[in-house]
Amino acid sequence: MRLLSKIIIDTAYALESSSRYRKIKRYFYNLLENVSFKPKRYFDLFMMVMILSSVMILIRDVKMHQNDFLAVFNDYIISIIFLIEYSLRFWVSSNSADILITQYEKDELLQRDFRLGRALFKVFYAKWQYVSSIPAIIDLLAIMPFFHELRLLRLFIIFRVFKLFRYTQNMHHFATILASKKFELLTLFTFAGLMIFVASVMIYVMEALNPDSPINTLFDALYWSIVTISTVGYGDVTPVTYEGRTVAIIVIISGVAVLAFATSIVVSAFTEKLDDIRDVKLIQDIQKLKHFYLICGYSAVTRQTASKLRHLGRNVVILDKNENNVRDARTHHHLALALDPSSLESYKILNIDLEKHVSAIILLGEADIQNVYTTLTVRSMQQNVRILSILHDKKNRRKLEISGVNDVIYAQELIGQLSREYSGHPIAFEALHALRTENKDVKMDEILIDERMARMIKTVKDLSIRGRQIVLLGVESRRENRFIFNPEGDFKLEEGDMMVVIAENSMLHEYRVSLHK
Amino acid sequence: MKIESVVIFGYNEFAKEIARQVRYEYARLVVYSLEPAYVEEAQTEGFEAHLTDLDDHWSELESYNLAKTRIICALEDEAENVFLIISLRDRFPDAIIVALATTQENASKLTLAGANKVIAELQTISNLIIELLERPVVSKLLDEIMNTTHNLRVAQVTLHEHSCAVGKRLNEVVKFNDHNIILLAVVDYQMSESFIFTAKGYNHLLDPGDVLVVIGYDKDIKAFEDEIGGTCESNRSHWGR
Repeated sequence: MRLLSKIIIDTAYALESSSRYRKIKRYFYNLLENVSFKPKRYFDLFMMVMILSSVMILIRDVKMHQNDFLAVFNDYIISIIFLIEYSLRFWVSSNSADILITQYEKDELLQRDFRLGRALFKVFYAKWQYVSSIPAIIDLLAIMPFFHELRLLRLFIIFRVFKLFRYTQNMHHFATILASKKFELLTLFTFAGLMIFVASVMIYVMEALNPDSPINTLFDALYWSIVTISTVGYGDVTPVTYEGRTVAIIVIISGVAVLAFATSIVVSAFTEKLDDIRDVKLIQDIQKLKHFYLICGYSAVTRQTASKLRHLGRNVVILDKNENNVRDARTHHHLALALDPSSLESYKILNIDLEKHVSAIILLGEADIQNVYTTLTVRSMQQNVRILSILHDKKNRRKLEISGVNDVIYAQELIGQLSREYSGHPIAFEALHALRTENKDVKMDEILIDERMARMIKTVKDLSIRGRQIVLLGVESRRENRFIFNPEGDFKLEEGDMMVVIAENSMLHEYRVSLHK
Repeated sequence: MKIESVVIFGYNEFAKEIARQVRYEYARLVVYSLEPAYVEEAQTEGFEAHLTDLDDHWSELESYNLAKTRIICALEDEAENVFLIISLRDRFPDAIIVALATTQENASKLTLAGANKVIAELQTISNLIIELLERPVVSKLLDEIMNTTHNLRVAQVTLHEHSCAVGKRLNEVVKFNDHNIILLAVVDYQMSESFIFTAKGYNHLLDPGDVLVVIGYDKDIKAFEDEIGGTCESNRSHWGR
């Protein structure tokens, strides 16, 4: 016994410490359960194709039984694929090694003998919880191969269709919505079940002895009452006696009530949950974005900035804790979420890698205090992501900088500068600012000297600017870490340097292409 | 033409910043406000400030040489601002009026009212944000040009009749320019008021009265101006105090 428990514990430790084993398990977990994992989508699609082809084969089989490749494919290959899937799900559903180790270490700590039985019970219990869950039962039934002799077993095809639910997110939402109205639905089913029971018994009592009546068995009575109470009313089975028809009247009237009740429950559940579902969907959409700008706080500036960034083809996500603002943002077709940008919880809900996916965070909150707080929240999670913040009151500039904002935008100062520049030399000002706007045919732009270009271009002369209608304003040199205005021909360039040029749009494009040749 | 005085209407956060930015550049800076409290505040800051209302008593303004004055309208209320500009424009058709607006919508109203230049706050802020994000080096460069503590700046040079550049083509001036400056654009008032950027209109023939827009360091601009024989309109000799 002792030897056995030692072997089990050693194996558990070996598994837990093996990074390879954990990696493989992690991969399969993502493939099966993690919605934001990309290969899962292909896996889901594959499984859906399997299910649908299985159904098609069965339909083909109904009228004329064929014993060809397709039948074998359906009976064995698809079933085996499903079996593999089921075992993988069973495997990743819980971490047995961890459960064993936890129990072992707990026993060690309390200085008592390791209770293998108890640990194994916990392991089996965790697995049993998975096996007894409804999706797992459906999976298991869907594996059953179709014995052609047993027609009833073909009903199991229905479980394959149920399996489809697993692979479509919308169905999952539908199920959660209905689950939220558990109590109401239970009440409805109890009421409907009771009604059907009473109606069946009454109609049977009234009609079964009448030779003219089509209702002869209790099953006929049940069939009739369900058809009637659901307001379907086929009319193939109808009561003929006065007593039976009286029962019918009562059943029909209560049937209307049952139907109305059922409809209202489902509709109200949907309207209540619609916003939540939309948010969940939105978060999934956001998680799929590769790069985006995160704007915290919705204001007039946000509206302007977000539209312009969208116009440039960038993705923008807006966070604001005020529901009304979010609604307004959505009417302008922005991706907006009603989350408080200054709480860690919001970022947990978003579940995104700030450094990898967020190009920059732009804080446009109404108050400096709020922006400082949000900055600190972000910085507590992520040190490197770029943060821009608007500054409302000059005296708070230092506070924003200390909290970790990379660029502080102080509108008043900027506008002061603009007014000054304009009063001093309006023409020069207009010329410079005409270059800033996007829609002019001549513009000022940056060209990064990348690795490929750096191989060919060593100095400014190599850029062969002369003879082209391009003005090189200067170079932001990485080596000297400053901007060199109007550099000389022999100024050395290197990878990572950024040129600022002024040129006509098409010329700029042509030049960029020629630089990469 | 040298600007001598600046008149600022309003004393909100934006106006305050404008006043601070221009206070050492011009001989005279006057603040007008509709609120007595603001007038007092401006006076304690050391500005010449007067109380005014929107009635048409512009006799005070008439004492200015309006050709050498810039009027900046930054009243708190947008409607008042529009009204002010309309009255000013009506009275002084040739004055140069700069107005501040919050949104693009108000900016077009102010332009309609007769402002020469409208700076829309929201537009400006969002442009700046986008520039910082998308073209950081350009934005750094522009910041350097705008910032008075750096020597790099943009200036305009008007060519007079006897300038040696008159009669030459734009590319000749660019090619034989051995000063450390960059010629950005030309405005030819005879043709149109829009810009002919050096990057595009290489063959433009320079006439007297054309305005050259150049970027460069202070001393280089001075040297270029002496050689080309124009007059540099921007005056920064007071800066850095």
